[in-house]
Amino acid sequence: MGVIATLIDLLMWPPVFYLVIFPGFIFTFVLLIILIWAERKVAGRIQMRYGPLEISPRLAGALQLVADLLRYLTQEIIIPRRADRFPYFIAPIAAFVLGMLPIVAIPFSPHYYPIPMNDSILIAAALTTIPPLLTILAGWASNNKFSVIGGARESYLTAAYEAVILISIASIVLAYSTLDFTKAVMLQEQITWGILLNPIAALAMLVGIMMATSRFPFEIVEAEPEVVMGPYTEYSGIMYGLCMGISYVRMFVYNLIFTLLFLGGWHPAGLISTGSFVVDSILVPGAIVATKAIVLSLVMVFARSVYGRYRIDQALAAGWGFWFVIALLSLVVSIGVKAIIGWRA
Amino acid sequence: MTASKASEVLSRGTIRGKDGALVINTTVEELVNVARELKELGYTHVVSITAIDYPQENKIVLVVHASLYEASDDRPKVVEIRTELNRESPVAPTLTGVWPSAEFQEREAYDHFGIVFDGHPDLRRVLLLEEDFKGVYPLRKDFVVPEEGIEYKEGWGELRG
Amino acid sequence: MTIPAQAITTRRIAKDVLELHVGPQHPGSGHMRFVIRLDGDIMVEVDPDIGFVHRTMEKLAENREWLKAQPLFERMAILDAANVTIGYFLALEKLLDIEPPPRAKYIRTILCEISRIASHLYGFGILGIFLGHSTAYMWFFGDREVFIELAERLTGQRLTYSFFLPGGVRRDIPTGFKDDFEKAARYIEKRLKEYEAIFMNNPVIRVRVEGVGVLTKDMAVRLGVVGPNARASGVKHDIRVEEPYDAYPELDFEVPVYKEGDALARFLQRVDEIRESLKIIRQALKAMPNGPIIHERYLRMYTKVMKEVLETQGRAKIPAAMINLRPPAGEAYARAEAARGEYFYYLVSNGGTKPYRARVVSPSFRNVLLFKYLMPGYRLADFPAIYGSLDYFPPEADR
Repeated sequence: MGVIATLIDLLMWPPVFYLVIFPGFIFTFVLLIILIWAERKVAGRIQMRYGPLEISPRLAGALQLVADLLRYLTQEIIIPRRADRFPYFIAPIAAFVLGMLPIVAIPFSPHYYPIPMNDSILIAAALTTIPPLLTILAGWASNNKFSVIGGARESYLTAAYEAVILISIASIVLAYSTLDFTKAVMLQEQITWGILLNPIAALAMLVGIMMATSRFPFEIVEAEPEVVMGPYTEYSGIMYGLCMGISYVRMFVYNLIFTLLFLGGWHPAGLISTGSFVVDSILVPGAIVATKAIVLSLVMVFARSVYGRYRIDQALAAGWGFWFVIALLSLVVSIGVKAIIGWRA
Repeated sequence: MTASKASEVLSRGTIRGKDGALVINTTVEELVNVARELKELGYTHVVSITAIDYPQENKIVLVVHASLYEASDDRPKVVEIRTELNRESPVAPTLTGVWPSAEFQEREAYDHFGIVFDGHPDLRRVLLLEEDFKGVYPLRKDFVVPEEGIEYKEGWGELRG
Repeated sequence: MTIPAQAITTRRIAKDVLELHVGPQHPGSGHMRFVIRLDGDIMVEVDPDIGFVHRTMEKLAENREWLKAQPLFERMAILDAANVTIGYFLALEKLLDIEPPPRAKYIRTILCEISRIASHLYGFGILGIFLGHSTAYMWFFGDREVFIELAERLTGQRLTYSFFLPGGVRRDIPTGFKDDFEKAARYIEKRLKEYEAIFMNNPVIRVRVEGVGVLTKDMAVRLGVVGPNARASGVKHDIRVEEPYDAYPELDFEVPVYKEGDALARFLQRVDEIRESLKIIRQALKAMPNGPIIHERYLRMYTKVMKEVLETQGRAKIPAAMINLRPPAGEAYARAEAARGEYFYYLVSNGGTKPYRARVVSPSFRNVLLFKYLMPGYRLADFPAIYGSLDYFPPEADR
């Protein structure tokens, strides 16, 4: 039929395919499920226990998150009587969707991107700064003292980690002299990976990402023994499921940016050629980028089993006093790197 | 500690044979003075403040146990101060001025027996709810905990269809 | 009776103070409620509201026979069940004027020390989870399992042993217990070293507990603090040394005392106490005297069947005279050193089969003051750190 054929054609159109299926909405969603399962399983193994095992014992409990999601979908959503309704509803949904928004500016190969852009790095970095505002909004709209305290903590931390992340991105952009992801990866294919060009910026950005997405030891906004669930205390049902997913989505997006800037993006893809356009230019580079980002995410969630939780003033002191200075230092290193690249190229 | 001070301590009361505690019987008016003297002699904190209810003799006996840390000689380790209070309206002076560790113990004695401590900074119930137990002091002997029996009904023990 | 005026007080509340109810349904509060007043991030006043698990044990003890108080009082702190009830039996034995035979004393000491180790591991787990370190929580609880199984081998029960009798214990040491204990001791000593590496020298945890919740010696003495909290502040107070009971006078052990008084000192002091407990059990097992496990006054009342059970299985059955125990009229107190501090029992008997008054003061009830006087001045995020380090157990405080 005409309608179905049109819909399939629409779906197969690269920008829509990119944003909805791979690596957009559906891929991120499935990845979220696998990532959270991997975190719980690894944490379980380290902690002398099994981790999730009940739901699908033969798959080692991999469908646990699917079961959790189904449970959230069928659970009653309780809205506190004195919460501010519109912001209360909008905040987690918008945070989840806007958390995925920077993918619109991240290419997975020189030929596979949603929207042609010249300044994709700038746009991606700018879009990542939106979700914290919605977290603070959720904290305010819940009308609960614990949520307000959590939102206040998030607002303090946002200033600290965004300074670190944005200055790290700025310093590596300085080394590459381009605001385009594609050109940055091509430069890395020619010379070497960003992490070797400017390891200090890479380190600062890694710690900044952990601070931004509530990975231990920076799980301060949602610190359970102190502020119950932080800004997300009053959410139940599927809203709670969304709130849980927000920080993982943001972490994955940050890791994609990190992969493209520091880990060579789709680097070994240029060495493989099978002749087919789809495989050469879409599947292989896409798989490489996604794999690098996933490995990095696994490393970050592994920190849960090793660290405790910082106090907010200690995290802020670390963020401003130490990592901010390191990020500024990386700017200086970048100037040196740029001089060397300019001299060689 | 000099011998005279030690004998001063011992002269105030008698040592009980069963457990070696020094038992001092005193009156309500003298309670704070005795406490102060004991504190001078080195008994720095309160272990327990409680009461025993004797409804037949119409009295509540306030029992205060005090002890010391890091004693190096043969002073009795625990001192027991007993005071008799009127059962109708038991009032006693607070010991928090002498021993700050008495704060929660006195609240518990108020909670369970209704003993009002004059001068306590924050005398309210600590373990029970005021709205459920207004004017009722459960550890007195006239508060009887009803024991329920279970009546066997016909058909219990068989499978319900 | 009307409430007199001094029972109602008014307090001036400062401007811009946020009142937070860290209530019973809060992951970081245990079974109690705190009313915390915050000025920004600093706590200005903390009001502990206890009584949520008050089970009226003192009143219930007046309605039960003397022997039935053991399962009752055990539930005050079931993780430490031996140390909680030993005080009761010491006081009861003082009323009855008897002393258990030497073998029973040594067995009691062994069980008390196993209980102490298990309780300390539980306390460490709670500290870990309050600081967000879930691995520490799982590891400590997993290792506690080793000692729970050891206690099960000795008494037949994992947590609520009900093992003591006035004048003895209920079972004899099973064969092979010594080897089991040696395995457990080696395992836990290895793990303690690992804990220091992953937990105490973990920079994140270290900075959360070092210098936090400092309890000076002067304040500890003034507030009457007991247990590891006092010993970590420089107060050398341990009932096992001051009023020794059971086999402690004949065993050789140290009482670790730290001077700093912060949360780190309290943790390290308890780790040292675990090591001392292992030493005590080893000595007791080596020096175990032979003999009966129950006082001969009750042994004389045994029937032939009961004697046979005692000889072949090592189980002491309870004679009828012990069930209808009638201690002579009088009062007696006794103190015992549990993992959290000193238990104080005061029993009043009027010659009947039920106590006239049974008073019990638990160490957590004596440490409640610390919430009121130690917390103000620290940040809200220090609240779980200090709470976890005090090893406060609400059911014990409420009884």
